Amino acid sequence: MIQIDLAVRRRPEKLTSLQFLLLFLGILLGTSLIVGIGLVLQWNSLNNLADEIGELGVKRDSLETLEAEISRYKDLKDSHSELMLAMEDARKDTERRLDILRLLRTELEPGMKFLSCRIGPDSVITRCLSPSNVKVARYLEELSRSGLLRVIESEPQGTRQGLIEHRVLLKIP
Amino acid sequence: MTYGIDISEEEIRWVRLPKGENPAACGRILIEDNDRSPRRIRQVLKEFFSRKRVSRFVFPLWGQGVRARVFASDKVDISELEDNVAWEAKFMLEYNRHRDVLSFDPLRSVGSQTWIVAVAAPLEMIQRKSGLFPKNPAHIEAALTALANAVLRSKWGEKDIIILHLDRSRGFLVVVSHGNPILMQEIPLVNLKETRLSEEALSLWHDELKVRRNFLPQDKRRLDHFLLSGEAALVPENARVLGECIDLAGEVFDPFDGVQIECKAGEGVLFPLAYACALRGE
Repeated sequence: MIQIDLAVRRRPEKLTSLQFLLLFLGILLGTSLIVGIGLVLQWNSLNNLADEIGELGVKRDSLETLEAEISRYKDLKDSHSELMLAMEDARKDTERRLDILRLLRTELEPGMKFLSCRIGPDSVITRCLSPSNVKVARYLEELSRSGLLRVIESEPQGTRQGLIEHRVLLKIP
Repeated sequence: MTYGIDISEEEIRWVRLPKGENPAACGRILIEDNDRSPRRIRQVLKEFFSRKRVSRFVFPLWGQGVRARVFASDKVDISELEDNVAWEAKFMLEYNRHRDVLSFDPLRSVGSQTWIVAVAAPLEMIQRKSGLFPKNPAHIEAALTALANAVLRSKWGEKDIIILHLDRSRGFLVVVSHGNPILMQEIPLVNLKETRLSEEALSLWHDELKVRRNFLPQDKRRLDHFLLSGEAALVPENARVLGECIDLAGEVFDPFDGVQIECKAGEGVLFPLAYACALRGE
């Protein structure tokens, strides 16, 4: 018998009900499986996230403590700086007073005596004894020439120990 | 059970071979004149498949573009044999691998020669004809080789005969010599107006047969019988007259001769293609 076969296979045009049902069940099962796996993975990732959130909370508390410490440190630093400035100002003021006091003593004329002085922020009041008014005048002239003080007035206050007592008002420029 | 289903222009002919308790059977389903569209044929076939619970079938392919050729090859090696087939297909069947499907079958060896039958058909036609059926066929046979098979399986198989299968709108000519087909041709543009051939029709077919016979090699032109099948064979007188045209004894060809099958008397001549297809599927 001659065996010629010209058949070309073609795909079935329609699905049978059983095939359709099996396909539907397959898709349903596959989808459920994928969704289930997705949920488990999501659950794991959520757990990991919760752990990470806990760790971050601890770090946040630690950072807040550090921040408070840093703030306190800054306050202390500022206070320290202020103290240092105050000390510096006090030192300068003391040095200025010592300079003025040294000047008041060193410029005295022979025969004159230094009694007392009161140094204010911008003025100096001093008391001294002098054998003559001429020597007081020379003394005041030397103080003015130093540049540290400017003579405002000089007033005799009477005599003490055979010398004339003067009260002198000076201005610190 | 395999069904052979032959769709002609006017009707669907089917043959079922016996299996178990089911006897062999055949039948015809007429297609109404007013609607022979593919949609209608598809619907008729669907009803038929459902009614008969057809699961396996073979159908014959015919029409413009189905080409068959028988040739002899002296090659023994299979690759050389395939080269011969490729050459014949290319130059004699005008086979185009982008357009056609080719099938070939080595037949018997005579001396140092192997006879081979090759058939080419357009893929588009195969898909279109297959699309008429609700299922995939087990095989697709060419109508020409189906007719040759029907003859070879009959008592005429070992004789030198020429057979013409003539329906109202199609015709196939096959020459068989010593158990081998040597010529297979589809006759185009057939238009049989009456079952009984008129004088004019006989004259035309006389010329047609003489021309076709000349395609045979010189040493193969001596034939024993002329056989006629198809609708033209419903009138036995046609076979005798056409045989006389080419100086041969003419007879009708009934493929069911010697086969137990439920068939109306005289209608067996309509079923050689369907019968051969059913045999092909076994």
